[in-house]
Amino acid sequence: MKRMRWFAVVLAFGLVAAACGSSDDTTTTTAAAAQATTTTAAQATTTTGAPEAGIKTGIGVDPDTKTIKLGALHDLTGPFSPLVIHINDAMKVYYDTLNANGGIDGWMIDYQVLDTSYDVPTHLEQYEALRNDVLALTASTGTPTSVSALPAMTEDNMTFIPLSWYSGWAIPEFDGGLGLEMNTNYCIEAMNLMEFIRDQGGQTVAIAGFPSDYGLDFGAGVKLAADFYGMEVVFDGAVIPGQDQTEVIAGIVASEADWTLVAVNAPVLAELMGGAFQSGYQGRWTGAGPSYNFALLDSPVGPLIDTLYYQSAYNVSWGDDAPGNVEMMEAMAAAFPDRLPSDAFIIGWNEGIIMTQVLADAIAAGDLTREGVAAAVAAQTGVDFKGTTPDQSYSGTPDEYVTRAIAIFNPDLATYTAAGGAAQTLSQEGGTTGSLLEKDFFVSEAAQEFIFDAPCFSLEG
Amino acid sequence: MRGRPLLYTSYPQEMRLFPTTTKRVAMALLFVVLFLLPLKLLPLVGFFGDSDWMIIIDRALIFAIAALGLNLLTGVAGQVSLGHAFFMAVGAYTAAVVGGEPGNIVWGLELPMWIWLPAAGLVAGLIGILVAPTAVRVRGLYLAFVTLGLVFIGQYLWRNLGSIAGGPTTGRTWPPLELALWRGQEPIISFAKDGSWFGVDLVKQGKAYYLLLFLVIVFAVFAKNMMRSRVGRSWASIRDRDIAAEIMGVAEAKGKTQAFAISSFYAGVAGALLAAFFGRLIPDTWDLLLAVEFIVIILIGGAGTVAGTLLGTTFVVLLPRLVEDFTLWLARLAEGDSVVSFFANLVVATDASDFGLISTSAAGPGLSIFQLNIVLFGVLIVVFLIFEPLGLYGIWIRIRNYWKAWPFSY
Repeated sequence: MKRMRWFAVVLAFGLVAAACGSSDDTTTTTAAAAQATTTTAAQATTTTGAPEAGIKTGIGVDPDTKTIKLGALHDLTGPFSPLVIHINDAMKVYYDTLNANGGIDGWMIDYQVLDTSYDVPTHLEQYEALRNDVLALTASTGTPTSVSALPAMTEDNMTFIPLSWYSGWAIPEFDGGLGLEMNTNYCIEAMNLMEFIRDQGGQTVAIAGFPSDYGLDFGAGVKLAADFYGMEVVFDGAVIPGQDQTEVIAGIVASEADWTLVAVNAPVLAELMGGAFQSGYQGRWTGAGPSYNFALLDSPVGPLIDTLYYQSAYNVSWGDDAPGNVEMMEAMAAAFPDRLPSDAFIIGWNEGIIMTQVLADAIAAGDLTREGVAAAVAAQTGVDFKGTTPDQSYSGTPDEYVTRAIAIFNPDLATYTAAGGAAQTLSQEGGTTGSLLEKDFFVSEAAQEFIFDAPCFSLEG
Repeated sequence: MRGRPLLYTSYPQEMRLFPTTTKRVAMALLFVVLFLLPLKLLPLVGFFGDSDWMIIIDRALIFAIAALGLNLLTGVAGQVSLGHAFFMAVGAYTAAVVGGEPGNIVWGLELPMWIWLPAAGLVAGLIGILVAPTAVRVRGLYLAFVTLGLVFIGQYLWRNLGSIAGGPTTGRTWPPLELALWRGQEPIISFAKDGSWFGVDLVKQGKAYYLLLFLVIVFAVFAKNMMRSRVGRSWASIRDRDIAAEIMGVAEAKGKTQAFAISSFYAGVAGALLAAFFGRLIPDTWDLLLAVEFIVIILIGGAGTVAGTLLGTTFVVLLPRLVEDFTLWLARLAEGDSVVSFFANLVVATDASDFGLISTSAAGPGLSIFQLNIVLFGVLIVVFLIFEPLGLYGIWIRIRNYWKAWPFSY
């Protein structure tokens, strides 16, 4: 009897092991690949693939099927998920469209997204799941998360596109040249906004921002520009998300600043504008791009936004007729005809364009390894976004290649409502998010003169 | 007397850590498996030694330490606490200040790990002692709310104390898991860099694994010993009927204070390890969700047992990854033409036009894998509370008893 029992235990163990084993075979090809080449990821990046038409290949590239695997670490269930889901959808549609049109010189893109919930541990765990599997990261959500993964990404020589506009991403000493920043950064954006304010007759400004890379980077730009233009910062308040904002609102009201510049998110912007207006604040408002969301036009502060807020943007908005934007809108409408428009689509779409350009150059140079991609980045002199945002370059010094232009929009409630407001769909003709162009892409004098060789705000507290 | 498994002739014999030969053999086997895991020497489960699995297993080990602490407080002493995340944060920030690098605004003394790790536990333990008097005043649901308050107070503090916690959305860096004699010296052992030990190549997660495994064993044995000593028995009596316990001469206030102090020590050490292992965390890491996660671990694992706690941690931490892998595996199955593929296709949607309950893309129809994970988490709590209050440990006991009586199990 006892022997039978042992037999049963062994059998049970065998079944469990078999179950685990089968899932292993099919899901974690990573494991096999890593073991087949060499143990550590750093070593494995040296090219192992067979030369296909003279192209050197490495991790994440299959020369037999001509497939390039790209990873994305996106916040799909966390605090930024409402925005990032749109970005992710657009990115997926971008690569689907690209593949349908023959890929990059015949190379197909296999796009794999993993959720990070904007949580540092989860982000690092998901990075581990991708690191031996993909050629590059076409997106990495967030500053703290991407910075935490930076040591590992540096070790792997992993090119990535950070979904964050921190000014450090443009500095090779900070990110080893691996982070492909997109658009301008918060610091330079703030300088441009200051010139706009000066042109509008503003002399005194108040700042209200999150005390983070985002708000402090932006705040640093405001102060630099204030010195440059001889303007005055009369209030600088730290807005802590999720907390009572009475103190900051009182500070803005008491400062009687001509303009208030914010670096917050849309719900906080509504809270600040509504609160300050109720307390009699008369000044006008503008702020860093992520502060605004056109959904605010549907909220009780809609009329305030309409009259008092000027929106800074890195890209054109939904409905704009720039050729790149039209392409994006057609593809999105075909994929999701019944969904609401979003100004976040273009971000994901443009991230796809950057990666495509870099990969195309790497293929042309005959080196589809991570080193080849990094070399293609360093030689990249102009990614063309077809009018949706100024061209982006990554070659030379940060001061030479950093993008410095923003556009300013004036949200218009009437235009938005006339187009159907929140009942619009992607397939609708003439859909708009209500953002009317106030000032086309421009670079302020302060931003032009500014020598950009270090992040305006250092992350290391 | 030999061969009669349930016959004990003395109390010490019954209270032994591993009373039967079977248990001793099983534990020895388990240790061998755990020891070999990062070396990728084991057949079938060798993939666990890869860095992508190791990093999750490491987090499970760190969570296990925190969960063992909460199990002593909630499972053994019966004091429901939602404040575990707060004590973890206290430990983590103590470690950051004692061991971290100073910056423009953040403090850091750069002391070595053998100071910051115990300090993290001790400071958290002291705060636990400060909180304990409230536990003497209130119990049950009310205590849960009092400790819930701690989490919110903590979040306010961490968001505003920039010199300790860094910026609210950028956080700060922690000292790496490296053992040096004193500040500025080369580490004797580094658990934070890939390298080779005794001629065996290990990824850094594999090195950290051994450190964490060692700590989990120490903390688990200590917890087990607490439970079968005088202190543990006094906690159990307070849990089961506090008034009766006091009448019997058990010092209730003292017992609860001890439970809070020791549980917080565990949490503090775990918090410091978590932060040091991942390198940079933001203040919002220590939120209510984290606190609830530990309650869930204990509920799913089986309250009041060390084995259950360890089972629960493994299950809760590894589940999301298993679900992800399983769904991707189903999606791959769905590509063929067989009967299996047909059913797999019904469950999984691989693109927007495909029908399926679960979708591998974030936008597709049905739930995305990531949403599914969140839903599963909730469903599991409900299912376990209703159908298996003893948790995974209860399931294990039933399986064990079935095989013990086999083939006469009915």
